[in-house]
Amino acid sequence: MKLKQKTNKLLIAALVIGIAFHGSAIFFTLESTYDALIHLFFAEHYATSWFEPWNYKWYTGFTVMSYPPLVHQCIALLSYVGGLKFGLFTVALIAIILFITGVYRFSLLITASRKAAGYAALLAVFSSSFVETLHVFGQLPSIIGISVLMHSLPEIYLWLKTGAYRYYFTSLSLIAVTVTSHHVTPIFGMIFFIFPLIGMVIMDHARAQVSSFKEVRFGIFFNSFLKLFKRIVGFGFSSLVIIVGCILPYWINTKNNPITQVPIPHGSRDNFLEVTSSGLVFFLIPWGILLVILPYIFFRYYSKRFLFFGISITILTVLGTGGTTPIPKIVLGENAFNILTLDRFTLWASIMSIPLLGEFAYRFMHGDIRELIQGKLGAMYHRLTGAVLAGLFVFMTIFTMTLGYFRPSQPATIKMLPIVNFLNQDQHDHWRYLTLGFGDQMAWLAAQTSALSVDGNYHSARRLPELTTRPIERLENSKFKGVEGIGSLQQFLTVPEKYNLKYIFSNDKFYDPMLYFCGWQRLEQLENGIMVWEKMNVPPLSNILPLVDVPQWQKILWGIIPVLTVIIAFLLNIQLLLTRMLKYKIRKMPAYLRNIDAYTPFKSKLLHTIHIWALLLFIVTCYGMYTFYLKNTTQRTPENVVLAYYDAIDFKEFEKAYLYLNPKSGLELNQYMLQISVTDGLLSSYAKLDNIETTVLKQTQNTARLRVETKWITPLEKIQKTEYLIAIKQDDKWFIEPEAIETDLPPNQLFTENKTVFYNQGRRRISTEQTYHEDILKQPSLEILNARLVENKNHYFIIGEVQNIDNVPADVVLKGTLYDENNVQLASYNSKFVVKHKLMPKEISSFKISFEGIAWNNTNDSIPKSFNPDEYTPVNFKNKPAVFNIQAAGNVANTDLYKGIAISNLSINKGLIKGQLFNSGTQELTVPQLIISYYDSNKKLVWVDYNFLQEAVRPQRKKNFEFQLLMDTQINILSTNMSNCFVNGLPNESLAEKITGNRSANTAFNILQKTDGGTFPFIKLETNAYIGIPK
Amino acid sequence: MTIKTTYFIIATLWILSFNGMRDHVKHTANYTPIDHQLEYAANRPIRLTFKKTASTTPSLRISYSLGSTIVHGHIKDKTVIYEVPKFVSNIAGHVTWNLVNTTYNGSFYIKPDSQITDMETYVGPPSIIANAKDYSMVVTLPLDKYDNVQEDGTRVSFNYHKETESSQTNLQVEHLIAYDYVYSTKKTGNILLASSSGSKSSKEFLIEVRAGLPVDFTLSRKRTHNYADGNQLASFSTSILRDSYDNVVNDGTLVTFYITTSSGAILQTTATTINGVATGLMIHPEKQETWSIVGIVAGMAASNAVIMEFDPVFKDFNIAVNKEKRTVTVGPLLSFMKQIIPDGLTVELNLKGKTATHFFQKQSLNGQVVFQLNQDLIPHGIYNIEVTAGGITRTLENILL
Repeated sequence: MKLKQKTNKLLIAALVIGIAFHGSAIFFTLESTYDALIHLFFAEHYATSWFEPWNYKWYTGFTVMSYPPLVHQCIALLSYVGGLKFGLFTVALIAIILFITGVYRFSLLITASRKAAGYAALLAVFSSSFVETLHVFGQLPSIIGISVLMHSLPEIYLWLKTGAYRYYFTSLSLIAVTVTSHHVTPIFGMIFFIFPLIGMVIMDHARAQVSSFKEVRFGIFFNSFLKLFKRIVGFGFSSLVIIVGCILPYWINTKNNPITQVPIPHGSRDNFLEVTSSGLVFFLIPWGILLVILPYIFFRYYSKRFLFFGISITILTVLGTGGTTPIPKIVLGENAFNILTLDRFTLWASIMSIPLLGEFAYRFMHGDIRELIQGKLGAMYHRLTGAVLAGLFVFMTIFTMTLGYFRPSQPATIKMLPIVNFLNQDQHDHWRYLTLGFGDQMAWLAAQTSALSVDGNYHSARRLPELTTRPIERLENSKFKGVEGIGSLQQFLTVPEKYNLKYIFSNDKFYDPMLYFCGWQRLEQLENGIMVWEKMNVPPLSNILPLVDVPQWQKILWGIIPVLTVIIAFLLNIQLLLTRMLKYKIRKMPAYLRNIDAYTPFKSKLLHTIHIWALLLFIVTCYGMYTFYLKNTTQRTPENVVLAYYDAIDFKEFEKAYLYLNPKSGLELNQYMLQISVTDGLLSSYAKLDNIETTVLKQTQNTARLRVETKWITPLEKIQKTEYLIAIKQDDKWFIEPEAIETDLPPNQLFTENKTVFYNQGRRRISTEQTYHEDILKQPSLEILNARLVENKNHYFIIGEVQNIDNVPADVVLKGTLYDENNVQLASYNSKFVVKHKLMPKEISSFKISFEGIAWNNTNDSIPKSFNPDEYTPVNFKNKPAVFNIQAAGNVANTDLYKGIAISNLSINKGLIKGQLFNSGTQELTVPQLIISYYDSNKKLVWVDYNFLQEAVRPQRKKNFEFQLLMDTQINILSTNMSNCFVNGLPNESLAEKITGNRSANTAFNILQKTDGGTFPFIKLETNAYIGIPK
Repeated sequence: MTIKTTYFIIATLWILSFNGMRDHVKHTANYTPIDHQLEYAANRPIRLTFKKTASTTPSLRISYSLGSTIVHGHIKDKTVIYEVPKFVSNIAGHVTWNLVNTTYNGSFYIKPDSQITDMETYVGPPSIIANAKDYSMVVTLPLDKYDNVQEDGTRVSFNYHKETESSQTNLQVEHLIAYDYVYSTKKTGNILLASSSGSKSSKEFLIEVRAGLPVDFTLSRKRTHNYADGNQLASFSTSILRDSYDNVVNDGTLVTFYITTSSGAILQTTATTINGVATGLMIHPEKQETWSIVGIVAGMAASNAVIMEFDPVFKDFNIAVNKEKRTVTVGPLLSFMKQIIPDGLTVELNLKGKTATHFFQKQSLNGQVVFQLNQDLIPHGIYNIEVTAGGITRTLENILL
């Protein structure tokens, strides 16, 4: 049968609308999606070194053979024309076209109706799963993969059905393109799309033997299967070869570097009923309007012809529910469940449903469903239903599209140019850098600069044990990952020389106190507001960096095959494509359009089922909204108002917080804002509310007393706070009574202070040559006054005191190493929080070096559930440490030299030490720290500890502190031999002898405070503080 | 491949290997050096000439300070001439040569150009301590235009200047360098130095002489009034901190002031010196106190102890208990001139019940402190109320709350 074909106007409309709609929207959405910039980074790699798979920029080097290259290489090719972003948007446009046409062809195959397929294509343009994947997730390779897979399905059908070799080649060529753009798609596509398709072909073949599907029994089916067996096996085997062969280096790489990482928690594995946000993003949005007609989809797919599609979509649907039911975990097994992101199953299920959505739309608008509804329930009802469905559909699309607007997943766009310039200047790219608080924009920075980072944004390629042993994607956003994240980041910050990490670009002041207490210093604020931090005493990168090389043939294969598959696929399909598009030649009707049975009539039973289902959905939605309302109405109960108040405080929405305060308390908004503006410190400026528990102690009609227990995550430690609040009810709304404020007033209005400032010229001559000999300052001399190796509860520490014996301020880096009796090195680490990293001339600091292992390196170790940034994993020592070595390095410091901190009003009672910190200078002490040294009865140092104060101390004001001293801790001293202490590479003893050899024995180093009992009769307090805004 | 061809290939290779071996046979021919000198100057071209009888022309291998190279000769009237390349002839030092595959060898010396064009000078460390013991070092390499170091014995002068005094040391290049120790002076200041040789001079260098360890000093004190109001600041200043040679210590030197209170608590405040004086500030205590203050530069210098006494601001205060509102009001708190005490005085309330004790701390506002007692924390009952302010404790016993 030959047929004169007309252009499918619905498809044309779909393409025009799709390109116009998505094509303009991507310019506003794509760059702030999760993945797009990562693909851009990979593209930049291919653009600069096409055949070299090793990329030095992330994770101290990784191979791009860990991700199929086609999409990246296409962007790279296009970038030669108009830059990387041009490439990205062009490829996105191609993806949109491929997706719409792919849906059309797949739908035509399934529905065998050009009208229905046209509707499917049109609806696919706005389908929420596609909108989400493109505009929220930015998964271009995934979209291209699934689109090309859909294009290949009709070809596969035709090959199996007709056995014409041209279809064999076209189908394989398309599979090849699929696999080079996304590896997971063809593998699971094989199972969930191609297997059911094979079943459908066999069914159709069997159907041709008899007169209706009803007559197709197992025997006939099996006969057809045997007849088609050769083609099926031939195709299956060939596609396996294609899948393995086209990205062979990828599989080799996967085999050589298996993913041994701790799985990263992913929202798609959550229980959607518990974590409703995950449910929304990974279930409700991708399904969207399809949820309403789910019974229809299942009904159709479970008809005999599509039986295998029915089974497939059932599995996909169930797997897509993540942790809501235990089934996915059982089906996939613990391992696969934890590695795979399960949202892709929902995506595929929704895409599989699109043809039937088109069919439903067609039948609803023109076909039997319309007649049935109009006949049974009236034309009015039909129109109304249509309007509701269309309304829902449009709502879901707009909602999905604007998701990123209402709940931004990324920080505001950062201007990268100042950072790129900074890295290019003055050899700053000779060290590694790290970004903090950049979100996925870090990939865009990495694409623009040649400098290297220790972090990265493609977690499968993580190589450093500090990263792979923890479920964190990147260091960059570690504050969202609790103890694992901050712990990991702290290790990089404490021992940055391990990775030649010298510069940090901070876009989130949350991390600043941690940077300061780890010994980093602020360099400058760039014009885009990014603060640059630097660390002293970090050697530059060596000229030759290690790489894991792969054979030449792999590199050539990787560089050539992906683009080649596109060219071959294009050449093979171009003729078909042109005939289809231009209709210049009358074409044979494809096999899948030939034997169409009439639709199984849409029975009233199905109509009822859909109605009941829709009602059920409606009730569930209403209930969900109701509970949402109950939980989120801020002033309905005392607990709600407390929750809302803390929420507002946490997000720094102080005006909103003010609205929850008792309006009759006489507190003006201005006054409140003023109070907030002068409150600073660890708790109010650097804490993230982690948990809040509110207990109503007593409630009367209009008053309630509550106990609020809050847990805060700060970059330094976890804070627990218990507060007692009073809530008042007025006009049916609950309010909180504001708390009393501190009233202390300093005596003087204007205060003057003289201070010495230091300025280091750095490079005196503007020259690109290596720094001139005479520009280099002498390293300040330090003296390690005493040091000892101690053991406390089976953990080992080096403690001691260090003094700056030079005449200039020093930045102090202390590196401790432990050896066993046979001088075998056991562990090495730097001093972290327990030392004053900046010492004025003649200043002393106690120090403690803890030996942190890489946390949870042993996979059997359980990762603690609770968060404690202060907690660390001690090194597992094979032998008992016996000898220690300290390498102290001083460098001239000229920042963070504020010393105006006094301790007053001190008292000790039963080990409880109380006192006041008085700020005698002109800078605000944002995060004050007390370092407490414990001495034995001979006034020998035995232990060092520290405390952070939660609140800031403003200039000329005081703040109370109190904490419990250690009373009966057993500290064992293992070694006091200081012969292995070195300062700036010179022996400590001889250096000290030269400078401080004439110290008089009678002169005190300090006056120790007596305690009132316990193991430690004497203590010494030292102060240190992070100053948030140095003036 | 047939066996024949294989044989053929093996035979060819065998014959070829003879050819290669023949190269290793020593030349028996004669090469007589013509006009060879033992010393050349760095700026002159060097050409080695040999009279030869053999037909072959061997290459000349030259080893010089920076490595070795091969020179091919050209023949002119039964002589073979080797032009030593400039990159060899410009570099001072010993050069050895031999004719490849012969036994002929020899050596000569290239002298640096006597014209000095640059004085490469290094000084370090750039700062030393004023104690006549510490020293820095200056190293000079007088260079010719080819970067050759001058010969041993070349005279180099080192010129020094500190404040008004100048001095000069004359030395010679020895083992390629000329060097001098720069001993520190007893006074701080900058030592300027430069080196010169022939007509050339180095640029100016600077060694900073900094103060040594401070020695013991004295302390002075200052305050607005002698009352323990917990508000005003007391300041302690050191005398000018000097080292043992009377030099003022460097700015920024840290002094810690330790204050021993009458109860044995050690308070502390720190300050850095400016022109040798460090001034520490401490807030007045809130109760009658006797302070003993010592300033210490850790392990190096200390001051005498200075005593500071503080009188109480008031002798008594009122406590009012309101059972309905469940408040305890303390005040008015009046200071030494009967003025309202400056805001911020700490008032402590200890509620001792039968089962539990509750502790509160608040700061005064307008001379008053109102404690609001939370019903959930403090159930109704009989309590002893103990209020402490300004070091004075007042107790109300058996109060029903």
